[in-house]
Amino acid sequence: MNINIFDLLLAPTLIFLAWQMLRARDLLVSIVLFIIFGVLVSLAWVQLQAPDIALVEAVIGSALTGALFLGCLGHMESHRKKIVIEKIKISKGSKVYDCFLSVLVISMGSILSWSVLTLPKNVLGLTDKIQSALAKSGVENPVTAVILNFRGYDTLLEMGVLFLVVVSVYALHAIEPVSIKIQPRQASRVLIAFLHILTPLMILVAFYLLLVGGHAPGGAFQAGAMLAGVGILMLVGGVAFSFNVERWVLRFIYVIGFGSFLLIGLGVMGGERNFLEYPEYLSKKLIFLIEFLATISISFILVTLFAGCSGFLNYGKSNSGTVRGVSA
Amino acid sequence: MSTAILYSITGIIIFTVGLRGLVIYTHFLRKVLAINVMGTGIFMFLIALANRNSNGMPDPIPHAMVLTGIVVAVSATAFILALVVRLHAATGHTSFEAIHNDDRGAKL
Amino acid sequence: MTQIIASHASVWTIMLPFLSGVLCFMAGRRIGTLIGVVTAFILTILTLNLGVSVFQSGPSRYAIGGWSSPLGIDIHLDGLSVLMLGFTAIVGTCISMYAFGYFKDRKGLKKEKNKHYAKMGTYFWPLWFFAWGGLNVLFLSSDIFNIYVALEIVSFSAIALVALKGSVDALLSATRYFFLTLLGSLVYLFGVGFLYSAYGVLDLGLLETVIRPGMISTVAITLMTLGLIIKTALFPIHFWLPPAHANAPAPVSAILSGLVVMGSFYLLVRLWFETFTGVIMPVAGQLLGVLGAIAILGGALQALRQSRLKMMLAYSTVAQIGYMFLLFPLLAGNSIGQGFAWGGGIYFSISHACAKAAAFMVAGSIMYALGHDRIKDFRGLAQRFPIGVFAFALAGMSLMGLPPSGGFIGKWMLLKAAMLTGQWWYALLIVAGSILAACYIFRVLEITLKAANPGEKALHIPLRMQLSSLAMSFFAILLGLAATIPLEILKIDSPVFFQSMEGFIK
Repeated sequence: MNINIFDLLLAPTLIFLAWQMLRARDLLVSIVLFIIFGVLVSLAWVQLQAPDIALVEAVIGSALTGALFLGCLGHMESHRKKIVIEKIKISKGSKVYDCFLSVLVISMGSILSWSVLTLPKNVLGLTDKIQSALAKSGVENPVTAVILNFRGYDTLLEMGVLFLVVVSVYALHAIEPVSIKIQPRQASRVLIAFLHILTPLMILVAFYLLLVGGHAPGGAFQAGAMLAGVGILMLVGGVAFSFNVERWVLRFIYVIGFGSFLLIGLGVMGGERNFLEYPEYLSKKLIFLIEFLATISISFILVTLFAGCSGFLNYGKSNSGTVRGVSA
Repeated sequence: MSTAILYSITGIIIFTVGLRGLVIYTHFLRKVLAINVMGTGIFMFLIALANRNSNGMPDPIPHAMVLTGIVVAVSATAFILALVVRLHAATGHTSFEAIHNDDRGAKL
Repeated sequence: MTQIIASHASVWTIMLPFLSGVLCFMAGRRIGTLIGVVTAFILTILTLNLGVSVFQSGPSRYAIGGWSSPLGIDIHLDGLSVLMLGFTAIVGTCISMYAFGYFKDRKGLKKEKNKHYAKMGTYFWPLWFFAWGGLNVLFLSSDIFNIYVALEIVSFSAIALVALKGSVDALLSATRYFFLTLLGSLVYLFGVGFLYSAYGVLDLGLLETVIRPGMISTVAITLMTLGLIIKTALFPIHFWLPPAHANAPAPVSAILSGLVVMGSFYLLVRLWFETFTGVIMPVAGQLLGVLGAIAILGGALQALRQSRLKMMLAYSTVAQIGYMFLLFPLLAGNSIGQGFAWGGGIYFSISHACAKAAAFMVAGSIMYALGHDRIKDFRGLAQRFPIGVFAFALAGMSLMGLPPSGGFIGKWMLLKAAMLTGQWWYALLIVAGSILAACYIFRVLEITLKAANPGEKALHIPLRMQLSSLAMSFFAILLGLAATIPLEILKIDSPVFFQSMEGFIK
């Protein structure tokens, strides 16, 4: 494939944005640049014929991660005891150190880039093998086939990572619930009205993404992230949410995505059939079931993760409203 | 030069920019941003080189790897931000240096 | 049901920890604890069975999803992976029993504090089982990208476990741990990217057949090794380890120092001596050896300077990681020497897992009783707390490398390899490190033997905790007495010529 002018403009822009994002004086600017960077990166994915990744990058890599950063920054700013002017870069202080590091990093980059040039120009990878096995996989989109069937094990573990992180976030807060009083948020009327229109629309889009995942870009993560977007907007808009993990329903929702995937994997196993080896006549249905339940879990987990890093996660009785230190 | 080479080298440069940022900037959020930048660099490298086929079809395996990678990255980000929020609530600071220099901070 | 367990036993050893992690989270603290302890015992039985089957019928592969590699992901079972699984199960069961006592309500403690332990106990079990599951994935996986995901599972659960205590120290160590270990994972992943771009396969076995020396292979191996070194905390990137290991609750310290360290070390050994054998340059091994040497001496000297027991043990881990890395330079040379180096390095890592887990458990018991771990205030402990001090002494024997402990066998084999390959300076180093280790272990033991200060209050330590630390330290010694069994298992499908070990046991 030959490059066009768009690629030649996009590539240096991405590098420049990455550089500027990290060194911007104001952290808010950094985060905004990060979101813009994510959007441009998803354009690069389109250029590289990776529409699936472009979609995930836009909703998860850029929007959701951006929301996490903004929530975290906003929370910390509002609870800063004294305004400390943050020095941009210090670390070990000296310019010499920075120079040394830059030389190191530049030489590393040059070696890596040089070795890329020695790579073979034409590699088929596993494309052919995947094409021929696609018919047996139960889906038509090769990327979905790899994710949910050929390398379904990776995806199972990835669901495990999400579940693990939500447990970790609760573990972090459970010991000494973050009991800093949060300003009672006035539900903004405009936002609520907006949400009334947006929510059904987003649910529709999410369902669509889930359905087309089999043969076009889309799938559980994209759909889950869409729904999580609605949840986060509701949370920010002042709609009350309970994150009380003592309630088994909530725990069950967190578990259902990973748990059902695991149980289906173990359930189809037996005799000659290996772990995660779906019977051919069932594979389409099983994959859809896994994706559907995963979407539910993912959306709740992502909303909880947002709540965890932006101070919304004070559940239960310990909401005493005072700033308590943490016992060392 | 092809798009594969252009974007893979772009990916490498983005990775190194992130690496330098991770080491040199002290604010936790900047470090987390840097980690995300490094990840994006690696993903770009993988996707770019998946695109070297003469038949025009990209290799879906790296695509699947990157999808997994993006989800792991967002999980990692959420996790560390929750930790940072806790640490900020406990010490009022947002960098290792500030916590070290603070008398009220924990001794290490 | 037994049918499924028999033919798919390797899948069950991976999935059972995840399954019970999920159940522990659903069930809450009380039932979760029971589920945890029962699972630990089932897992031990499962892995012992697996070990027997590998012993009888040799190495095997299992295609997950029925798609064998390169399309799908394979699980591979050989001597090394089964040995790692087995010792993870044994150490894990002892740690689970210990945690069973550790997170229980403590008599004589304020209600507020007990609540703190109860909450820690609630989250300990799911996180611990995810770490265990991640380790089992790592030991059995034959796919370098799948291994990346496994590494992340292990790291995330380890970080959450470090932060479990919620104190500023713990949060700070967890944050530092996070940045370092994530850097390590990303650098490893970059290496994976290079390998896949060059060779188009991810399976370890297939890579071994297609990998060629050259620029791209060197870059990939360097990146992956660098990433794993950061994760294993080899000098000079060791600074994050001592605070993380020392500030965690005792069962967590045992998990980290015993098992998590072993995980990334295992992977490095697997990559270097199976997949990359044809393309590794000997000078790289020497470089790792030098770093290991500095770690041995530096770690031991730092350990001597510590005033807190857990901090001392954490620095001791830094030193012992140095020993493990001596395997890399010693593998250059003739084949008999190689056998000793390979066997010795791995044997050493297993013995270290048992001994260090036991030592951290005892340290936790002491903290439980006294409320602190200041070494200078340990007077009279040997009288009041004989089981614990005895367990510590046994574990200490293995850490020093005194016969007949597992640590002795490991060091002995490394010594022999150093002599056989004509690198006598490493032999000197091994001996010097052992003397330093003896200094810091005896320093603690000596104080415990002194007469107690009158009128000091101490909580009663539950028997469960005492016995599990004792059992763990017995294992560290047993590894020396019954060395033939693990060494025979290690020989199955071993990548280097491995001389029969019967000769030197006697």
